[in-house]
Order: sequence, then structure tokens, then C-alpha cells
Amino acid sequence: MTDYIPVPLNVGPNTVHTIYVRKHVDYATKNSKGNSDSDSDSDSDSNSDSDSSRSAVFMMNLPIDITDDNVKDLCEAFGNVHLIEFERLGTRHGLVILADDASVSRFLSKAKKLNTTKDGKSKSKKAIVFQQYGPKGVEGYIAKHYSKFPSEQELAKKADEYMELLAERERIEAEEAMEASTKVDEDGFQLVVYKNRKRLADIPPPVVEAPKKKKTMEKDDFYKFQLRANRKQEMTDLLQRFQEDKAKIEELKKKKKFKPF
Amino acid sequence: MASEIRALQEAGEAFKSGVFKLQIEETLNEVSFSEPTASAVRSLLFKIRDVLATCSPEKKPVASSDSEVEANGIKVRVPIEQHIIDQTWNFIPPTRENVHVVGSWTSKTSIRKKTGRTPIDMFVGMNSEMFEPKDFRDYRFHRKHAAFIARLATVLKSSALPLSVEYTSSVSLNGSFVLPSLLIVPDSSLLPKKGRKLCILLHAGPESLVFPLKKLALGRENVREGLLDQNQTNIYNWTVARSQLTLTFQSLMHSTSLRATAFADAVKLGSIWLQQRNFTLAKTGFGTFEFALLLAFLLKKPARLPAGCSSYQLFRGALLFLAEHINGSINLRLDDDVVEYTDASSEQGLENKRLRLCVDGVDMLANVHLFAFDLLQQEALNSTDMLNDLARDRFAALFLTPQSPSQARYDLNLEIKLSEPTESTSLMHVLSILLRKAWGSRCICFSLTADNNESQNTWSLNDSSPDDVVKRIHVSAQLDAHASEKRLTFMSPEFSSTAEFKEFWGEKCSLRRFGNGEIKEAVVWYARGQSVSEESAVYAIHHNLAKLLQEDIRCKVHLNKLNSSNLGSLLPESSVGYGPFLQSFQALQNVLSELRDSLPLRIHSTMGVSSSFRYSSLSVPEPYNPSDIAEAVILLESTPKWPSDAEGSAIAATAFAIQIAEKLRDTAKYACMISMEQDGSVESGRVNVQTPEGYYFKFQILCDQAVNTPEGNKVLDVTDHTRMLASLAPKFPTYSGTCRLFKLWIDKQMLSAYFSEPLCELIVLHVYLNSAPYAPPATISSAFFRIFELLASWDFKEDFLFVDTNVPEVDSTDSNTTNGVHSTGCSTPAVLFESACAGIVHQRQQDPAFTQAPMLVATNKDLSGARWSSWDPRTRVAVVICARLVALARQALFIDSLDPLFAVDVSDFDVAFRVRFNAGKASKKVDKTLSVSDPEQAMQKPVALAQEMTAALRRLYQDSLILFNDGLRTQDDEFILCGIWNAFANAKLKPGVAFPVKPNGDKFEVDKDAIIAEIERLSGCLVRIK
Repeated sequence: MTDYIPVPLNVGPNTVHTIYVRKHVDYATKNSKGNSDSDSDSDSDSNSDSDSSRSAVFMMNLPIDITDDNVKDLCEAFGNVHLIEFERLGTRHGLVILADDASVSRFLSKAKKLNTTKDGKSKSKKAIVFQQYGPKGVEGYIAKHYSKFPSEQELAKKADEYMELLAERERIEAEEAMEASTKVDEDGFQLVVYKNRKRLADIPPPVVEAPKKKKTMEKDDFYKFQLRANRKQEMTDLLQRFQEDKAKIEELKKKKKFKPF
Repeated sequence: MASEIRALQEAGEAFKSGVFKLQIEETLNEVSFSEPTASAVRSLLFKIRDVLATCSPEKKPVASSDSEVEANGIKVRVPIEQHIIDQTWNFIPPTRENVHVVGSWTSKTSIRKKTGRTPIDMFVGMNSEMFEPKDFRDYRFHRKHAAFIARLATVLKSSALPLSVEYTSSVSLNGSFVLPSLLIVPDSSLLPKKGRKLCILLHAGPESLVFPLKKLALGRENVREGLLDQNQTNIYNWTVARSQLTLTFQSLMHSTSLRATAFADAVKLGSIWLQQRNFTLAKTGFGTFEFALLLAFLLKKPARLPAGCSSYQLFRGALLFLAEHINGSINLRLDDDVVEYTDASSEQGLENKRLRLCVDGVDMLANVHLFAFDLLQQEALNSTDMLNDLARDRFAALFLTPQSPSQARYDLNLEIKLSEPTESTSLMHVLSILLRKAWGSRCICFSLTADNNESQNTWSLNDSSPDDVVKRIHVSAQLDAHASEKRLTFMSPEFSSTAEFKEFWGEKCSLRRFGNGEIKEAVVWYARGQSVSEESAVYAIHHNLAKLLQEDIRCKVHLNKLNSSNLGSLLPESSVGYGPFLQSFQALQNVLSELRDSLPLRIHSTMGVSSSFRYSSLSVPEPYNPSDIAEAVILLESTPKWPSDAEGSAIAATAFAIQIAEKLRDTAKYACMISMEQDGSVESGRVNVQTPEGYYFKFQILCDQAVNTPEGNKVLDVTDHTRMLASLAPKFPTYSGTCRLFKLWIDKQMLSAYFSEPLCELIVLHVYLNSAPYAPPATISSAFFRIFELLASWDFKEDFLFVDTNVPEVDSTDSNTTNGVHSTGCSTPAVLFESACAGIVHQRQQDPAFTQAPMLVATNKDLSGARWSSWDPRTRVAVVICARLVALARQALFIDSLDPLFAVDVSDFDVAFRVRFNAGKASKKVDKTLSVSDPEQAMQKPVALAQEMTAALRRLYQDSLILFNDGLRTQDDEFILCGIWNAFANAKLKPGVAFPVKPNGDKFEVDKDAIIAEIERLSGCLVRIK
């Protein structure tokens, strides 16, 4: 918590929502590593040099409806830094990607200043105003509702494209399957593939049948001792059930369940 | 050891099960009196006997005034004034040998009473020399009896024993109590602590048969002609006969208990059973003595019940007899000590539809009210059903749970207020006949309760006996679900002639010609604002009661405030019902099935998903109302070509949706639209259809393979549930109304979001399919309160509900059935129930902290019970909300008016908002013109946006603020949104915490202000009210 700088946002009359910011230390390292990977590619982005210099501020405890515009407002308030991108990592935390380390430092120092007075006390009166952008309440839901009805032509086109892709994929898979049937493995075995088989993955693994249990011919109610044992078992079961019943009744008795009036 | 095993084997055979036997033993121990108490009582009884033996002989006049006979302060009214004669007689004092302890105490069948004191019956024999041979006529016996009892009272009062002595009587004739007894309450110092709720009832009567019983037989008039009607004559004869047969019955009980060792326990069981069902001597005339007498008769030669039976078997045998032979009679011939059975009374008329237990022709149940027999039969039927239940333990419902308040037990409740106090016995008798005639087959049984307190029949030694009159009577009826709302009343066997029928129904009755050409007298009920059963009863009482009582009285009939009509009026109005909606869907199904050859895949089936297909949607679908869009599923045949991945599957479903929409449009009747809806992580197309009749359906497309996905499985579960309810609901005419009402109540309690519609429907179905200890409810009001009763008594952490949807079809001619549905739901196979128990145990092992599914409702297809009650994601809040439902149901049982029952109460919540979510286009009002002219635009109308918003808010803040709102099922745009701060919220400053936090010292806490500000911003339409 000590690393974080609290930033109060004025979200309503007399209501402050505090967000917490700090420098995202790993961002530059990761970014440069990612860029170095992409550098190996001959078609790498020409902006890769400027990307590697970027730095980021990690923000937590964000309002649920925070948008890029709100973050822009924040950047403007904190030293007029240029926001490259606001990357949402979850519902209430994200990364504010800025041009360089200097921008991050300016951002954080301004945030610190805003947060404390000379004597180190809280300064909530200077909270940054949080404006609501985008559709509010019912408007948003109505807009979302109408977006559920796209044009049928578009949908059909999308479906046709997908089906073509699917057909192509199936064709390739069928070819792979047929190809596999022509190969002979090192032990000299050849995979049998039916002509209707679409994919290799559909071929079921060989079933290992469990050894069948031999039916025993021994009877358990033939000899006198068996009958005696069975009777004894029945008696034992009866007594055991009785004991269980008694325990159950005792439990009910403890709960005073036998008081009709 | 061997003897123990033998005893266990016998218990298994003689009782329902070993547990049942142990439960019976424990209960009987609980209600029995201990030996120290019995010993103290014996000592007291000896002392009282000694006091009574100190009476001295004297000659005493009996008559003191024109209308009353007085002796030592007790007055007995004599209805025949001119027959008063100054009768003198020799008072022969009782000796020690004349004083007997009789009744339940001596036969060891006495149990603690539900309310009041347990009586110990003492009997003082009157010497036969005190009577003339014709003293049984014209109340002469009653006068002498009264004088004798008054003499005993004087002796007891003057004794040194600390006793409180009062008169009491349970029999009245022409409004006056007759045959009084002495109620002796011993001082607390005389009995140990556990015996302080005992009292002594001192009866008197001839020690031997001094009056021939044949002179007291049924219908023999012994009072001047015209003074008593047939019912009162029988009661008069019974009072004389019962009085002189006391010792005969005592010896009958004694000999029976010697022959059948389980007799005493069986009577105790019967006594508990009767008390729990409010059958007492004062209320119905049928009490423990009558039950014991029935059992003794059944054990007499030729024995219906073998003497070697266990207490359980004897009790069950008596109940079976009551269930099957309530109109029969048993006559005990004292000469040869055998009983004769007659299956049904040979005498015609409603008055004779009753059980008779006769001793040489004198009915010993003459004082039992006529209505009590049907009631007794119904209770016996329900209880025998429960005794036959092999799956569930019904012991508590049979013996331990007192019967509920009448609004849950009975289908219809009304109160009659009379302008003048009226004699109670006659009023009960007249009303019994009147209501039987008025309701006929509409009613199965009913109960009458006079609004006078039980202490009214007790008066002090210095006062004259009070009048047995009543001004208010409560009527509670159990109706036949299928017959109660028939619009026509025809001549029925309750009426002896058409003239009687016409006179009974007065101006309502008219000669009508029917479709089949028949012409007959009939009454048509329009039931405006009230049900047919209510209207017919109210009319019949107003029209006939005064006439039948032959008195100039007026009466007002008040219906219970929470009657079915009032409750039903809360539901959204429907002009057409579910019929046209389902027909429209059926027609669409037919069209879809004809598309089989024109689509790449055949349509396997089309099934409904929404609650409107189950007759349980809160609002009945109205034509041209896009808000009432019903969801359904089109299941395509399986094909190996169907994409196996979720995205591919969704695209294929969308493609099929487009094709189906095109084909439906081609038929030129159906307007169709495609909409994209979220299915798990992907979006897939739905076909929105407007039928020519104006109903809206939204079809999801599923392929047979796709049903193996969690989403597909869920949809199929709902369709299964829909199919099951669609077949069961029509068997219970009130199911739909009750279910809708329960959903409305849940919504008003702001719990709709937490209890799914199928779960609510199963809870309601449980009330119908497992109605024991009652018959299935026949009105919305009784079903509604039974739901509360069920929820209030449901210890959901320990117990679960099991709804056996395999309802056995039985003979429809059986009186114990409702349209082929078994009455109480006690026929679940034990194996099935055991499987459900195993499923529940497994589920509980998975969820020991009740975070996933605290309330389990199992069905034949879901033995885990968690299908419809699971919380996703798991939360500790689940058990709290379930407990809230139970608490609200408990509270609802005590509410007696509509408004508080359905009021939205925000006092329990931490925050509350009024939401005006005016969606404009989402208005519920039906725009028929637009819907007809541009159905596509109508189908795009935004609906249920408020619900969407509240669901989104609930998802966002589930870890910090538990949100509740009403208007979910009613789809209102204006509603209340409340919240309780989640006490289990884990407030930390770290990524992944789903709510704003703020520092509080070293720790963090939920930032409540920030959350509320967020909710206000997100909804844009909140007014905070708390």
C-alpha cells in the first residue's frame, strides 16, 4: 500500500472515489522484450523504437464506468502528459501507458502533490472531477438492445464465410486422414482409415476390454452353515438397524420433537 | 438376546417400522402421567370419596318456579311449563361403594391435554329407588339428576378439602345446559407439580339400567310432542341413556383392555390424533370417549379387529373404519354381548348421513354434530394415506404437529353474524344441513365453530346455568377442486323433491332448457367478484337460515379478507387466458414440423422454455404485446457435420435461424426477425416470430450434439420441466393462479432474483402433489397459505423437499381422488425416495457450508435437488437469503389482510432507491396498430431493460452489496431497489477486488459512498429513499 499514491476523484456531491496509482515497474522491461522478439521479424513495426521507451502507471480501485476520456482528463490534470493508451486489465484496475519515464514521473509527482498539503494532510477539496462519458442508464441499455438486431444479410455473409472456412478445414483434415492411411510405421503397421473418416482425431483409441469375471458356481444358501450364517447376518442387521433407530430417536428426543402439545 | 430379536421382528410386523414403534413409545411416554402423580391423584380421589359418603338422607322438593328447577343453587330450565309438578323425592345419599373412578384415568388412557386441564372422571351412582319408572320422560330424570348433583356440590363445598367446585356441562337442549357435572379443581398443594393441570369431573347417574333402553331408542319421543325436533329428541334420549350406561361402558372398556392389551395405547394414539385435529367434545361432540367406544365395538364379536393387534394396528383399523363406513352403524346388543354392523343407514335424509354407535338402539354419537362426520372421514382418509406411506416418515404430521390455522387447512372461510343470540345446538344442526344442500358435491367437508369460549359451559355454584347461545359462527370448508366452480346447480340427492329445491334456492332457481334438450330446474351462478362456492353459500344462508330456525333473525355473512377472489384480483388481468397462446404456439409448431424437407437438417422437436408454457407466468401472454415474448427451442436432428466448437456451433445456429425465418416468412403468415443473444461466451441467433394471432415467440436453435454443452443442458432441463408442468398443471385447476400469486409475493418481497421461476413452481407443486396431512388445495387462498406453512416449517439445512412427479393414475370413481390424482401424495416408492435421499446426501457433501444450494428441491429427474436452487457463483449470502424467505413466510402466516402481505417493506435494508426506469419505447402498453402494421418494429421494441439493468448491478456488486428489487416478474419500469451491505465482503486493496475500497486505519473497508455514486451513475434514474 505504501507504494501507491491515492488520487481522489470527485464523483458526486460530497462523494470522493479514491483511486490508487504507482509506476508499473515491469512494463518497460516486458515491452522492450516483446519488441525485441518482434524485431527478429523482418516485417517489424517501424515504431518499435518509440514503443520501447514507453512507460506505464498502474491504477487500482478504478470506478467501474471509467473510460479512456476519464483517463485523458486525469493525464491532463497531472502535468498535461500525453496518454498513449489506457489498457484495462480488469474491472477495477488498468495500465495508463505514457510516452516515457519522464511523463510517468510527472504524472506521479503531480498526483502526490494533489494528494498532500505541505503539512502532509489530506486535501480532498482538490479532488479531480470525474465526468461521466457515454450513454447513461436507460440510453445505454436501449442502444445495447438495438445492437442485438443486426441485418440478416450481414449475418448470412458471416455465416457463409465461416462455413467456407469450415469446409476448407474439413477438406484439409480429410486429406491428412487419408495421407495417414498410406504411411507405414517403423513396426510395419499401417493405419486403417475408412474412406468416410473426416479427421484423424475422430478415430477412437483402441478399446482395452476389462477381463471378464468368471461366474462363480458356488451357492451361498446351500449348506447348513451358510443358512445359519445368513440368518445370523440378518439378525445382526436387524439389531444394527434397531440401534440406528434408537440413536435417531434419542437425537429427536434431545431436540424435544416428541412434544405433541 | 433371542427374546430381544424376537421382539424386534414382531415390532417390524406389528408396527409400520421399528422407528415408528419407537416414536410411538416416546410420544406416549411424553403425554402420560407419571406414577408419583398417579399415586397422589389416587390419594386425593379417596379423600373426595370419603367426603361424598358423608351426605345425609333428606326429603327435598325439586320444582321451585314455573320455568326452572332449582336445587341448592343449580337451575335447570324446563321447557314444558304446564307439566311442572311439585315433585318430592327421597335423596338417598351415596355410599363409598357408589363412588367410582371411571373413564380414561382408570383405563389408563388419560393424556395431557393440548389446552386446559386433563379431566379425571368420577361417577357417583344414584340409587335406583330414587326414580319412578317413567322418570325418563319430560325432563324428570334431569331434574332429579340436577338436584342430586347440587347436593353433592354442597357437601364438597362444605368439606375441609381445599377444592374449587363449579358446575359444567357439555350438552344443551333448547339453549339450556342439561346433565351438569361438577368440575373440581384441587388446590395446587394437593397434587405434585406435574399433576397441577389435572381436574376432576364428577358425574352422577343411575347405577344400573333403571329405564329400558328401547324406550330411549332413536326417534322415540319422550318429551311432549312438538317441543323437540328429531335431532334434539335423539340427544335427549342419549342424555338419559348415556347417564345410566356409565358403569356399563366402564366395564366394556375394562374387559376390552384385558382382552386386547394394546387397547389403552391405541386409545391414547387416537386421543392425540383427535386433539391435534381439534376434535373435542365441546367443538364437535366427538372426543376420546367416542373413539375408545368405536375401538371397543370393533374389538367385540364378530371382531373386525383381532385382539392381538398392536396399538398401531388398532389405531389404523379404527381410522380405516372411519374412512370407509362413516355412514354405517354398529349396534351393541347388551343381552348377548355382540355387535351388529350396518353398512349405511337405511333411513333417508341428510340428518341420517352419520355414523351411529348404538347400544340396544340408542345412538351414543347422537350429540356429535352432523358436519363432524364428513370432517372425521376426510381426516381419517388423509391419515390412513399417511400411514400407508412407505417412503417418508409421517409420524410428526400424524401425531405431533397441530393442525394449522383454518386459512391453510380449509379452502373457504366465512363468518356468519346473527342479529340475535341463537341456540347453539340447533343452529349447528340447521347450518350443517343447509350448507350440505347449498354446496352439494362442491364441498367435501366443512367445519362449524361457534364463536363462544369454552369456559361458557362452566358456571359457579351460586349462579344459574348460562344459555348455550351463539351470535357468530365460523364456517370453514374443504372444496372439491373440480366441482366447486361449476356455474350450474341442479337438483341433487340432498333434496327430496323439486319443490324443496325450488324453495331452497328461491328466485335464483329457474326452469331452463339445455343443449341436449333437457328441461330442468337449475341455478346459474355468475360469480362476479367472488367464487361460485362463496356466492352460493352466502345466498343460501341469507335465504334460508332464518326460515329453518323459525326465528326472526337476520344474518350477515362475511368472507375472509384473504379469500381467493381478493387474492386473485392482485394478479395481472387477463382477457383471454393461456388457451389462445398455446393454440397459437401449437399452430406454429405444426408449420415448423412441415419445414422438415426444406431445411438441411430436420427439426427434431419444438419445445417451450418460458413460464407461460407452464401456466405460471405472472402475466398471461396477451396478443400484440411484445413484452410478453415467450422463449422456445428448436431442436435439430444430430449430424456429424455440426461444428464442435462453441463459435462454430453459434454461427451454424445463426445460419439455421436465418433459414427458418426465411421459410416462415414464405408462408406469408409469420413475421420474423433475427436477434443475437449471448450464449455463454458467444452470441448466437434467435428467430423472433410474430404469429397471425399476435403472439410473440423467440426460438433458440440447438442441435442434438450441442445439448451436451452446459448451456444446452440447462435449456433442455427447462424444457423437461416445462413438459412436466404442462401435463400436471391442468390436473389442478388452481395451480396456475397459486403459482402466479406466489411469484408475485416473492417479487414484492424483492427476492425474485434469488429464487428461480422453476424453483418457485416446484415449491407450489409440492403443495399440490404432497399435500399430506391435507387433501390437495382447491382454492388459491388455501394453496397460498399452505406454501407459507411449508416454508415456515422447512428446516432447509436438515431437510429437503421431494416432488414426486410420477403421479399415479388411479380409479377416477374413487372418492379420495381429484381428477385421477392421488389425494395426499403418500404413494412415492420407497426406492425412489431413498435414491433422492442418497442424492441429497451427496449434494450436501459437496456443499457443507450451504454456499451453493441451501434449499434443495428434488424431483424424479433431479435427485440432487440443486438443479433450480444453485447459486452461481457460490456465496455465503445464499443461506442468509434463504433464511429471509423462511422468516417472511413465517410472518405472512399471521397477516390477515392483503395490503401488508404484498407491501414492499424497505425498513430491513441499509440503502433503498426508487427507480424510475422510463424506457419510453419499452412501455408495456399494447400498441396494436403498430404491431399489426409493422411487426418487425414491434419485435424490436426494448423490453425488460430495467430487469437487465438490475441484473447487471447485482452481478457487479454481489461481493459488497446484496441488491434486492421488486418489479422483476411484473416488468415494471418503476420499482424499488434496496441493498444490504455484505458482511462477508473481503475488502482489500489488490487487483481483482470487484468493489471500491477505502482505507480505514491499517485496513481497508468497502467504500459505500463510492458504490452508491457508481450505481446512481450507471442507472441514471435513482432517487434515494433511505
